[in-house]
Amino acid sequence: MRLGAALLALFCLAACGPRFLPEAQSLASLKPGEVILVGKVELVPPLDKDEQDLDWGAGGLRGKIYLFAGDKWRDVDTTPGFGLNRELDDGIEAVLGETFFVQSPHRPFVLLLSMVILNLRAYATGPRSSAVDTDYLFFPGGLQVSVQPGDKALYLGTIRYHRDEFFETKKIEVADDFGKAQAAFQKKFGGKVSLRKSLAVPLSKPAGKKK
Amino acid sequence: MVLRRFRFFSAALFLAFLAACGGKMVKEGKGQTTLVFGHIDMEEAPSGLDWVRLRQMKPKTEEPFWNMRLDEGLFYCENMPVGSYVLDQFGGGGGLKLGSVRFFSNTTYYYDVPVQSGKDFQFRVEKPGLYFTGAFAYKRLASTAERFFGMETKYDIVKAPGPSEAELLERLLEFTEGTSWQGDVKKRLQALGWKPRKKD
Repeated sequence: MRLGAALLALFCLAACGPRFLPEAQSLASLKPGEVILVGKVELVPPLDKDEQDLDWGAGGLRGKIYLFAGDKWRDVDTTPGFGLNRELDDGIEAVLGETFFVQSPHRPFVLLLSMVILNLRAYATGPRSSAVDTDYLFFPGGLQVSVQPGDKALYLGTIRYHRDEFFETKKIEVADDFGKAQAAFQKKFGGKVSLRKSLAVPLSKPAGKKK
Repeated sequence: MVLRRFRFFSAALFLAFLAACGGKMVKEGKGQTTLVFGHIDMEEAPSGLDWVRLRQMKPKTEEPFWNMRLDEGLFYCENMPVGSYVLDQFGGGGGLKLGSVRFFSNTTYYYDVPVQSGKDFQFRVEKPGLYFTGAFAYKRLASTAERFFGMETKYDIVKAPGPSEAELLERLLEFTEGTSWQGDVKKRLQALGWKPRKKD
């Protein structure tokens, strides 16, 4: 009985949450065969402070963007639920407008799709019933970063999604803020490892989005 | 006494419901504003259409949701500011359909429309006056077996070929009576080449 309950709990833990690439805390935490990816994602114009309607204990999702990633191009299944969670394995949880530092396996990094959770609100629909309203925003991927043998830390740039009032992507830009990123990198990790610039570039295959 | 209060409360609630959900528009216009209208065909839906909600995307506002007035699929709302809107949600009560009323169900269906649903559901109202969002239809995607077990969870909303803008404007004439909007509706009908139907 106890074993069954423990297995069930483990199954739930394994199934319920995506396994994002871990945040790089220090050089010591870097395992052999891993590289630190450094970058930033911005929305232009940025989200207003009240634009995300998040309640039901979901306030932690505010201002976050989720990058679906892999080592080669594929379509992402964006059906809400466990499928979407699984797709986020090896993805990046980043704060919009802030530099991220994550530990990634030493392999090509391909950005498949980006996602922001716009709404997650629960409301009563009757005396004994309720409903949850969710709305996700998707921004195209189709960018890749090449990783060279011997790389320990890579700067992939600032990915800027220019969007309209309906959150439709008008343009994707990869900006070079290497100076600022390098300063932030050295402040966090010291000068032992150098950060190499390898800006994300468009994949040869045009990226689509599956909704 | 309690019963009387309950009756009074029920009547007040019913009147409030009627006032909120359709009928004639407010007489006063609000300057440079718009009368937005459209239609949703719920023929394939497991519910009626009891509300349609638009979300204002631009200009930004603290109260972005607009509950539209309704009349058998026609939705409309006067005095809306010029700006950008999306079809956000619509819905209604389920049950057995007898005429235009549904019975024997306590299920309410909510149909959410994602913000990024494409141009058909995103409306840029760029100048004051009339704005026709288009006609839409609920499209059933659930299988017969799923519907039999009450699992009506798969659906789509698509552009519909009709009713036309002129047909809807003709229906709007009744509700714009006595308002500054009626002149705009008549002018638009004229521009569309509409001819009044002869009454029997």
